[in-house]
Amino acid sequence: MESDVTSSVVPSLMAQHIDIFVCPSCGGALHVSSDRRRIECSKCNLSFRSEKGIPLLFWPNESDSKVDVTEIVKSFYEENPFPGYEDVDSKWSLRDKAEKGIFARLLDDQIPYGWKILEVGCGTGQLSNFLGMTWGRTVFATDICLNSLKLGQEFKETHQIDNVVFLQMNLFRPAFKTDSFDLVICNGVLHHTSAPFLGFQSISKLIKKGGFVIVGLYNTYGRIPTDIRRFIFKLSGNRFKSLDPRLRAKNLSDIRKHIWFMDQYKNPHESKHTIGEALSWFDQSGVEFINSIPKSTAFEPFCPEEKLFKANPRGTRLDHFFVQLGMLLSGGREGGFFIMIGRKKT
Amino acid sequence: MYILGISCYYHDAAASLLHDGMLVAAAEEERFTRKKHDYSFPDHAIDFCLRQAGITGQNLDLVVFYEKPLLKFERILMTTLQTFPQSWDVFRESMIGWFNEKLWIKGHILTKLNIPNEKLLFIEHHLSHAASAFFCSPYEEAAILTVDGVGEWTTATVGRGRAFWAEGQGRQGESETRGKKEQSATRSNSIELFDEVNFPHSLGLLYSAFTAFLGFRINNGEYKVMGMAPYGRPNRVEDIYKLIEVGDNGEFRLNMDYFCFHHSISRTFNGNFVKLFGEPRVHESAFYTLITHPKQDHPQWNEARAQSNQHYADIAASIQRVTEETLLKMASYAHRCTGLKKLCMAGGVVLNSVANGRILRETPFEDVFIQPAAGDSGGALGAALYAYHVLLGQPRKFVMEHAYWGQGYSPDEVRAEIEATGLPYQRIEDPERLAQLMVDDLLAGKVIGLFQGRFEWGPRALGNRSILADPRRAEMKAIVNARIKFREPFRPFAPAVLEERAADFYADLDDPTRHYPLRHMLMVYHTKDGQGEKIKAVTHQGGTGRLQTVRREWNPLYYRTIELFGEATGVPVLLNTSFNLRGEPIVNTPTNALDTFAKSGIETLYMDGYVIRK
Repeated sequence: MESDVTSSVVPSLMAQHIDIFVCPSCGGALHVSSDRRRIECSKCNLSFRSEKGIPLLFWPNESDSKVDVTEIVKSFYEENPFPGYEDVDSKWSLRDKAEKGIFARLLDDQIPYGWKILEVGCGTGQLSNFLGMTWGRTVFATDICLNSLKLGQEFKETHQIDNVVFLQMNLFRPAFKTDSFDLVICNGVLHHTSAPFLGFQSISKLIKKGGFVIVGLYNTYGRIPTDIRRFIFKLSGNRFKSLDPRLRAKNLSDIRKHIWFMDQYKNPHESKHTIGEALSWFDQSGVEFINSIPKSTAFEPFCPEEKLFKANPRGTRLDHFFVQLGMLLSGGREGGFFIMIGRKKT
Repeated sequence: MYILGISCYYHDAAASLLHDGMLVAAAEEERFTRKKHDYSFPDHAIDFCLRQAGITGQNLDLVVFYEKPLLKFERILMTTLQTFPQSWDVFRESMIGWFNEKLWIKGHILTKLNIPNEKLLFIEHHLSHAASAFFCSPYEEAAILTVDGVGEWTTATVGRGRAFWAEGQGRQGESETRGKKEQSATRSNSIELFDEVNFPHSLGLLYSAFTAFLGFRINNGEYKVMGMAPYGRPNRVEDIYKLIEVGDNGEFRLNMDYFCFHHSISRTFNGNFVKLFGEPRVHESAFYTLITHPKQDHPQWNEARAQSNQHYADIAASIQRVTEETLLKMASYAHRCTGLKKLCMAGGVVLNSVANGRILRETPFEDVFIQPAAGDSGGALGAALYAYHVLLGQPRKFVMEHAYWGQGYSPDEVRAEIEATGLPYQRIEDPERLAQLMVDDLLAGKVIGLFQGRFEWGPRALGNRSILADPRRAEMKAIVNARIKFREPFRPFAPAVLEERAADFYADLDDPTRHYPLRHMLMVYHTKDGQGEKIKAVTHQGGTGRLQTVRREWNPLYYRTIELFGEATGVPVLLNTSFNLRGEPIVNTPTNALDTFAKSGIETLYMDGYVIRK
């Protein structure tokens, strides 16, 4: 076969781990072509190319609805790939930025040596690039939006972050075998899909038995203040931005504010979920609850030295009521965002 | 007799423990709490010191705090009252701090260590500094110079120390002029600080004001100002002398029209300062000039920015020049007053290794002693030594020959911590083979981590918690800065050189063995003609190096590695930098080291005989 010059070389990290990949269309085994420029399915003979070092393994949903949310959200992010790397010009500044959020710092510190990690919906890949800066782990960072991935890939190449591979993928049509990852991260993604629970089931299959999943979602109650602000912005033609605590913060750059504004108020599709709902997803997918941010038991603060992967009580309905009330009353400072951590039962 | 020294609540909290006048342990709190420059009460460092000696608080005969809190409180009250109402914020903030914590230090220490009131002493800040240098030095008599930001009221002192030694202990005296008999006859130790400068006139605070102006953090970025200085021209010296008036004897006064550190919590310099020197540099912004990047190839190159950076570098060069000139005058004065040939120095300003080198070379002093923790942490050591030698009148027997007074770990502890991570490792017990493996890695262009024994006392890594690389490769500076330490590419690295070969590479170093500050990387020297070219990665702009001399007896593995590297290359020098990531304290435990190893581009970790490769 002639070399395909339109396709870039398949990243070596992917070639090394080709055994965990499957064809997103038929589920058949994949292999790298002899010229190392294409990924081919042994079963259905489909062939996938790479662009700028990013394998394009996106495969569309079977169209069973009139409106394909995946396509709408994909085109929104293709036009607005964020967060960009404008304020991050070195490994240090990425580390500095990531570590300002407790979650990323704890995650980086507590991921054991040798883990295989999948981030689904990595966007521009800042978390994946940050996690990939630490040696002794492999991070697969996927998203539907190629423009976002390109930004992550560019940063990875410029700063020689060797443990990350970026690839384009639709989470409903994963390109990985089941039971492949020690950790699957899906942070702020499922609520922008047409079927969040189906999405969760799709990605939870990819976790190894005993492996972990981290899911970040908008909370039904915690999001109410954001919904009210969105309504006011819509009526007023985006005036009164200072109603949002982040948009009025003095120590945040204009770029960061714009990113926040677009993500929180202009996203074409979002759904909201309760803690109880997320727990029921866990139960139906063979995942046990481990931890959450905020903590799912009422009045228990999330401490700066929290052990993310150590089992905690899942909390009663009353606990969940108070926790979610707390998110509502805090004015949706984090956009009503909550994170659930689970472990796949062995 | 056990004496514990404690310093805390300003910056760099620390503890140290003496047993019958010999140092048992000394460590800074930051190594345990992992907060850089941690100033909180040093619970962990104290626990470590007691553990190291195998004792509890009840075994302590004395506990000595490194300053007098009430005097300091008085200074803060007086200063804020004088500048009221401008000082309202300072007043409020400091009262919160003092009434919450600092005023109760006595009770806190007594409860923590479970000791009676009479066992607790408080020594003045600059006496602690002076004692930390003089009673660690090998001298019988020496001039003393202490210079820092501020203690209670004092910011700088000049004085003299006298000591008598226990029989049979090695020491260096001023034998020609004063004779040992005369010294021994007095049988007393003393430190007399006969001249002092008081707050707000402070060389340390002046330097800190410029540190903030140049976009670095106070009490953290001062050495970056020193590192930036060689990229500039000292063409603003006259302007700086508008801020500080220095007399012939080194006595100085700040012109307070330019400062507000005495009445502001957020700023150290005021509008007049900005009128004179322009707008301050944006905090931690990219630094590049035509000197750092002659090809204008910095990724964010901008002509106007490069010019403004040059302006800041010129200011850095100027403040560095003024600091050196002032210290030289003070040291010369100390010499004139005492007529002695030996000088002991302490205080945060004495970490200015460029100035230290000049003092040794350009004043009549023949020997200079500085102990590695010259800043406030060293006060913990000085306070304990002062109590033992001056207050209790005990003879001297301790000389600080090396800096390895921190915590160490047994092979079993190291192995357990490695195994907890699941990393594959190799055990190599033969030090000769370890040294050879390290050299093989270095010759292959790899950057390695060396972790062994007890960690260093003071801010410098000296071969027990070090990152090492080949200094001959010019590109190593950029590689280690960008891939290992995640910091600005211009930042210099220091050479570690065999003591007996140091004079081959550095000028004016006839007898490196006698200069203690060189062991602790506290003096900058010029490279000899052409030699700087051989070790480009550790030669700073202007052809200088802040060298560490290494002697076999204090660190055999480190020495042998440099020696073998020298045999292979003809250059018995290594690039040595502290084992930590930017913004973090130097590693303490094996787990800290493994974490830093994984997060940085270090390729092989040599840890107490265990080898971990990527």
